[in-house]
Amino acid sequence: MVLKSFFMQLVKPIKWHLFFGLFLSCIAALSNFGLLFLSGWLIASAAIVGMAGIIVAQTFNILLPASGVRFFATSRIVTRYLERVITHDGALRVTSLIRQTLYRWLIPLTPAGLYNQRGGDLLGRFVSDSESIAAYYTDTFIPFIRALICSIVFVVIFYCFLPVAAFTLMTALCISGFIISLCVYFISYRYIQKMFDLKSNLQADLSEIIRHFSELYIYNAIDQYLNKIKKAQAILDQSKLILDFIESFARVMITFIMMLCAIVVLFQANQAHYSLGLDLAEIPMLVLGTMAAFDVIIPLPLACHVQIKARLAQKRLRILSDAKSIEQKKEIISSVTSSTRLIFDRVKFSYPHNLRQILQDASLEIKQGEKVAIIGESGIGKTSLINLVFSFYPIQAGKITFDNKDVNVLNIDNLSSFISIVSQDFHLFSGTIKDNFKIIMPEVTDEEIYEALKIVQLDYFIAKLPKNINSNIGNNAIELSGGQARRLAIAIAILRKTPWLILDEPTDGLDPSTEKTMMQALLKLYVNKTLIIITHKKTILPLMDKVYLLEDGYFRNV
Amino acid sequence: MLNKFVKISANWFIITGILSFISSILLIIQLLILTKIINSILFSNFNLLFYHKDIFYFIICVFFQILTQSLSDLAGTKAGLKITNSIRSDIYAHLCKTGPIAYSHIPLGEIVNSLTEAIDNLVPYFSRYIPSAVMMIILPFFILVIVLNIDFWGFLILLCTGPLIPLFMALVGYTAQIIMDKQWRQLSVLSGFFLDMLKGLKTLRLFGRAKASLIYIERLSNEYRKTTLSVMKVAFLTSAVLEFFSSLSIAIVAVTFGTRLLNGTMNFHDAFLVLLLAPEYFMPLRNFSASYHARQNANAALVQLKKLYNIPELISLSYRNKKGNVSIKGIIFNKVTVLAKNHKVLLKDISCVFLRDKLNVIIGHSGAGKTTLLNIVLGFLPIHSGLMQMIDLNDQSLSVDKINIAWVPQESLMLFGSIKDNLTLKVANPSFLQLQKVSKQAGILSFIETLPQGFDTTIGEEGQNLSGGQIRRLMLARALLKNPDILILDEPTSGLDQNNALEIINTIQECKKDRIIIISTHNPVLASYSDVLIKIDHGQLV
Repeated sequence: MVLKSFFMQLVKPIKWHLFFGLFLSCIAALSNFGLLFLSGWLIASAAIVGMAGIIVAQTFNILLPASGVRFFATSRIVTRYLERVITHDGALRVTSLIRQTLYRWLIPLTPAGLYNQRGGDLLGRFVSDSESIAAYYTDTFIPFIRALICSIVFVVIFYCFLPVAAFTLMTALCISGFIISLCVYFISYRYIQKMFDLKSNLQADLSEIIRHFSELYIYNAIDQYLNKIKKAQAILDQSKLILDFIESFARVMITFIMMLCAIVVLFQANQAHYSLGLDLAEIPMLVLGTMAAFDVIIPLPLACHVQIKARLAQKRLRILSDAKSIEQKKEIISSVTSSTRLIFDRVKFSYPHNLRQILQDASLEIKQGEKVAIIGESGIGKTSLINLVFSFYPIQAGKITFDNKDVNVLNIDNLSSFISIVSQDFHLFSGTIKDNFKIIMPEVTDEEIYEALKIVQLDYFIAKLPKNINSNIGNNAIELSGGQARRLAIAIAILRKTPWLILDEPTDGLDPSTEKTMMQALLKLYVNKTLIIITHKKTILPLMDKVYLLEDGYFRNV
Repeated sequence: MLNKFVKISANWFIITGILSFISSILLIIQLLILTKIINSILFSNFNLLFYHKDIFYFIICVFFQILTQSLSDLAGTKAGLKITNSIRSDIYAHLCKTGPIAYSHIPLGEIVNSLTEAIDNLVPYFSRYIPSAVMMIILPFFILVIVLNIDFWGFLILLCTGPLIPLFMALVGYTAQIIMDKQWRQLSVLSGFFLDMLKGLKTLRLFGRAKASLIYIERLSNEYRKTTLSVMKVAFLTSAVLEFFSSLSIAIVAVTFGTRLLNGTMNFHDAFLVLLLAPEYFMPLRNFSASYHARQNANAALVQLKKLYNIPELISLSYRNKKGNVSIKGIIFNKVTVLAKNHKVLLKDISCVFLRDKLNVIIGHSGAGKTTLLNIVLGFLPIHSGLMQMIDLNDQSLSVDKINIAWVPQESLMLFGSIKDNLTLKVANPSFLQLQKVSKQAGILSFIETLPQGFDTTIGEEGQNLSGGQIRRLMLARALLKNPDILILDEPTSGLDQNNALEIINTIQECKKDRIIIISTHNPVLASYSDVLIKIDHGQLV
């Protein structure tokens, strides 16, 4: 099965841990069986011997079976506890591995591959899918393998006493373990799949509603959107009820088969007592044994549900791994020199799923040390340039090179050590201002942070905050205004001290005087470095060496 | 707190309790019959077929026992779902009163998680924990009475081992609860953190930190595993305690009864029956212990939900009119002061007037209080002192529920759907002509017409296929579609070049007739077109 191979591959580093959990689990189940099996025999034979009179009774050695009972009891206590700890630890390790794998898959997909994927949806994926797959280990893998191994042991033990009873037990175990499980699997699959889709849609919708609550509220749409959520929830609840019923019904069916099997075994043992001379004391033993044997079967219907969930979760995650088309880029630049250039050579580009041509036949050359502004009408594709420099999207024709190397083959981490970009869709992480510096530059000092904040004219604002740079900026930098957030991002970028810096509308939301101060500070800092500013503000242009106009898909030197 | 909810579906709880009890009685009867049959076979030398009547009763018993058990489970789930549904509705209703400003400090991922996963975690508490807690009290007591009638020593063994279990479990469970709370918070942090990391993945890639940030995922995942495990080690002790007593009592029963049987001081029937009843005596305890996690999960989830319940209700005005075209003349601010949650002054003694047929422009530094002022008009923030008044053409005070308002925020909701869906938000149902009219007014019609599917063209999440200017225009068209009395525009020209900005300004100019337009902006050109100019600095009028 696909799931199994994927799972096995994923958990390879911890497979011995997982097998140890399985082993303990089997021992616990066998101890339970042993305890009841032996107790039944002990009581029955003691009763029979006791009836035969005091002399026979004295020849009966009760110590040995009694210590056997104690042994099984102790072993059941210890192994059940250990089993739980070990298997849950295993499941959590699996979760951790899945999360890391998922994140690793997502790195090369960002941002182009995440088109069509919704933020809230990914959260649902991450949390519940990784948990569903991890649950596969404790709730599917172990129950099924344990049921298989233990069933064989039970049948063999029965065979030693009464072959025909062994056959009955085997048949009953097969029907309840195998056939009922299969039925549960196929009946439930459709419902669980439906619930899966519903739930991820619901989470995505909900996160959209919460995020844009104010707008929906003003447009009188909030009730309708919430009702839609409630309706989806009602369907979800109904499916949950049906699944619960299927599982519960399967469980009681197994109980029913178990009781029938116990009766048949009782009958067979009774017959065997007369025809084959089966020891009378073994009759209750076999009956109790039958009932104990089904303990490993009872969890199987639930295990089927978990199996389906894990399968669906893995299917959904696998789409991401299959989309991983971009191979590892190897080419590396060692350093930038005065001859380093960023060249767009007759580039043709449009976004996937979009007919509009952003670049037609665009050529541009930017030399090391130049201060360049790129202007153009809004929506003309200035921002797209950033996506192209890092080859986040494929171009249809032409070539983009940095330091004479095609950016398509350049290692992105390497390229980013020379070029810092603050795009319009930059992200500030929830946490403190300092955290946001640290995640990009773990080694940065407070002094450096304040210096950078001064350049982007945020020093005054931050000095007024109660905890200064240790102030929390909230989710999506909610505590900052749009302009402040952008300048904070620029402060982070300039601290990276890369020889090239590309800024997208850096002074948006600034009044003219602050804007001028900030630009002058920036230019002073980047005196021997390259500064590219994508903007629509004419006020910046006189400060730059060159200005290119992007129009109709071409660059023009102005 | 949790038990307060039980009332909501009391009927279902009663049903599940009764069914579960019947099922238990049937189980005991079934064991009695089984013991009788086996005892007779062993000691009366009759063939099994002689007992066909008993076997028939036995099977009937089994059948009804499992039926009632199954139905009882179902009723439990139903009870749980009914309660969680009502909690959800409560919270939605509450959020409609708190408004977005009130919960802006809670990470989005956390809110969504609370409303889906956390509430789902309550279901097992109601469907399994409560029924099993009831059964745990009734059933063992019942079995004890039966055992007392059979054999005093067996009774004593069960009596001694039984009551100790809840005691030990409570002790262990209390410790586990403390650690559990910590774990839930971490899960919450982690889920919020991952969404945050995903959103920031492009930024991390641009800064060459994507692979390095894997460490954060790994570190947090491992931290999470260790905390969870430390809870589990303790929590599993509850089951271990149970396991200990249950195994111990079976072993004691088997060994002591064996000895007594050997001495002939006891009969097989009683011994075998007690042996069968012993596991059943512990079964409700075991079910209870298995659902004990449900309680811990539910309690932890409740902490999360309380956070949502405790969001203050900030919405002060509710514009519910969808038609518009009332005779609004102006909005008057009279010494309006607004405080933040931490009592920081956001606006101080603002007195101003926004007028009909005019372009009312608010300017000021970023963070000066422009957005707060807009939030006051929108009704998302309460006024601390002072007065905001709407007046009609006769200078009479106008109630807000008669006014139709529209708003274009800086970051608008972009639905994953067609352009039409985005204009109507899938709630309005305008004619094609109306759509064309507002699109033309917003200056986006010519673009839409170049698209092969026109208004039905799909746009990506967050409008990824559109430029900033196009999104702005689309949002303006959305607002115009509502034909509002008050139109609020937050930075309508940011991210646009001068030509585009001028066009938008002209478009806005044309829309000002018969309504109040309020714009917040940095753009001096836009400010120069204003009829009423309000400048704010540090929350005060300049």
